[in-house]
Amino acid sequence: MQRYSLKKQIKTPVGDRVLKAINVTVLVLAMLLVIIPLLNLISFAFSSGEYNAQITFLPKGFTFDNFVYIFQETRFLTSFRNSVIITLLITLFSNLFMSMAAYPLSKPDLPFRKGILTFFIITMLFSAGIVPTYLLLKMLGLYGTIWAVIILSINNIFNMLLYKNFFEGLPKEIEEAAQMDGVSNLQMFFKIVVPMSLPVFAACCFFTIVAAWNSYSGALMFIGESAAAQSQQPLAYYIYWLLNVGSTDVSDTWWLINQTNVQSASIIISIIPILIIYPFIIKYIKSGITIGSVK
Amino acid sequence: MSSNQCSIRKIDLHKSNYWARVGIKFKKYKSIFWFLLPATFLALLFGYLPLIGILIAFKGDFTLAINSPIDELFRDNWTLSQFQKIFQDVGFSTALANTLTINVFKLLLVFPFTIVLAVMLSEIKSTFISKLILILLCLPNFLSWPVVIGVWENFFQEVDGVVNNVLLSMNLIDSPVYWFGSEALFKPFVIIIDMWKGCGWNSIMFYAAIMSIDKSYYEAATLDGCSKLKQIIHLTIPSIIPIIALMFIMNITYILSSGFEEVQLLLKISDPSLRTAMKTLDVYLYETALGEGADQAFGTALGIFNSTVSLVFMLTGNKLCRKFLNKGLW
Repeated sequence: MQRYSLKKQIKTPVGDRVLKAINVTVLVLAMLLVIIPLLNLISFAFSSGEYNAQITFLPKGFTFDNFVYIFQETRFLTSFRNSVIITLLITLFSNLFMSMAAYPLSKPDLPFRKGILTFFIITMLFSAGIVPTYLLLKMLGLYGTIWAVIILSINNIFNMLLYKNFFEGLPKEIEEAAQMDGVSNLQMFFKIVVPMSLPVFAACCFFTIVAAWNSYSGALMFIGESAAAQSQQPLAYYIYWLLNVGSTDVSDTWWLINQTNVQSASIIISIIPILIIYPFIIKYIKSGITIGSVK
Repeated sequence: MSSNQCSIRKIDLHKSNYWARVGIKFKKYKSIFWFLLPATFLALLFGYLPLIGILIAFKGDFTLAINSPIDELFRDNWTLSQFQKIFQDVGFSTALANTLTINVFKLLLVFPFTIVLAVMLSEIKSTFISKLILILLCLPNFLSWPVVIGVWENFFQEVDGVVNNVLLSMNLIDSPVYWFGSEALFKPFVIIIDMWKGCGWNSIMFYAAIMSIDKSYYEAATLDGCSKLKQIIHLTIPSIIPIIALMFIMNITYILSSGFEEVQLLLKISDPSLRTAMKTLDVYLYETALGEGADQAFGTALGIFNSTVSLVFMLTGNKLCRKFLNKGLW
């Protein structure tokens, strides 16, 4: 009588089954709450403006016009280009400089190690505020250009500490063996330490990319809202601007009807790069957690 | 004989002065010291040099119309009045009250919900499905604030918004509601949108902690006839108490900041009449520093006040963590 397996004999109590039902219901609701506004956004982006009143979760009057309109907007295109430049440069230089600085700091017998670490951590904990930074950028002639945002984002002490902790955990024997073979310190870093630390590099790079692509407050403060700064603003700022443009700003009837739809379409375009790297982020979420817990 | 030699050398090293030893180590690492240069340069330039600007807070007024910033900085109009002004300023006290209200509600509602979410996810038998749900719930965290606010604005629009349309068709309301026009709804919106964006991502830490609990405890509990609810209360939660405490302290240290981008954007899409009453500290700070009719001396004073209080919170939080959890915040 194999059919009466152990599982069937131990009946799950009623309370557990109720709990499970509640659990599943709440999780499904949570998922719906995340999906529904996004679905709504997508249907707006692919709809023609006359049908906006009837749109719920499916496009009405399916059209690509909104996307065509955006790709003819010079302001959108410059913002997109700026965002790409900002993201690439920040990711490259931030991770290069932070990992380089972390390498000497991962040596336990480095002279003044504690002092240097404190020197960096202080900049993470205490800042002079917006006005002094604004004045400094103005004096350097960087205010109002994309370089202001880039140069302020390169130093990421949090990532530096992640790199340092990871390097400290690398097996000492490999480095010692390499040293025996007469490998210079520079080669040691780029040819031995970096290849061994690819997971932490990948995780830090992905998170830098997301942060740089999504950053909006830096642009608001240090690129500014002036007309002269228009060609320097990133995509996140463009979307903010689009959200604020009242219908009186443009005397174009097509725009008046399709404003929401164009907004939705540009939001979707700005999400796409994030969606492309999201699978990679998920892959490293686990290593990110372990890095976080080691810290 | 050899051990004798060894001990003599040890004593020598000990006697030789500190700087000589530093010199030896410095030689060892000479070729990698310059690795620190780019980061050090940037830290000096953008972390330490602006600290001179703190002086602006001790000035009666600071205008760049006539003088260059350097001349203006050393003009003789020193005073402490800016700091006194902070505590008499109505805008500041409203902003502080708003920030504290929002953050206390976040701690009371959003923070427990992330823990509950992690527990619920861990209760799902198939790890594949629970991970799938987690991936979906994490997605909003990777969208920028302008995008998130844009999504919600579409959803709650007065005309053509889905929420209004659905409520109208169910006859729950007579006319479309202007969701972003009422003071009573503003703070709930801040909290709910923050929850929508962050709860999946914030529950990951707890989820990972729960998943690392030894499964044999649960088997033993089940065999002893312990119900699922009791397992959660007496096994799951106690096991993750350290990480809950860590995250709680971390949240407390950010109590003066309720997310600049979120509130600033939400204020922009809301009715203009809400703008003065609903500011939070970050937004008020930004507006006094760089906004229209900015008072830069006062803005700097506010910034220093904010930075100092945050620093004290951070250091205290870090100390508490070191003491009770044997683990620092950084």
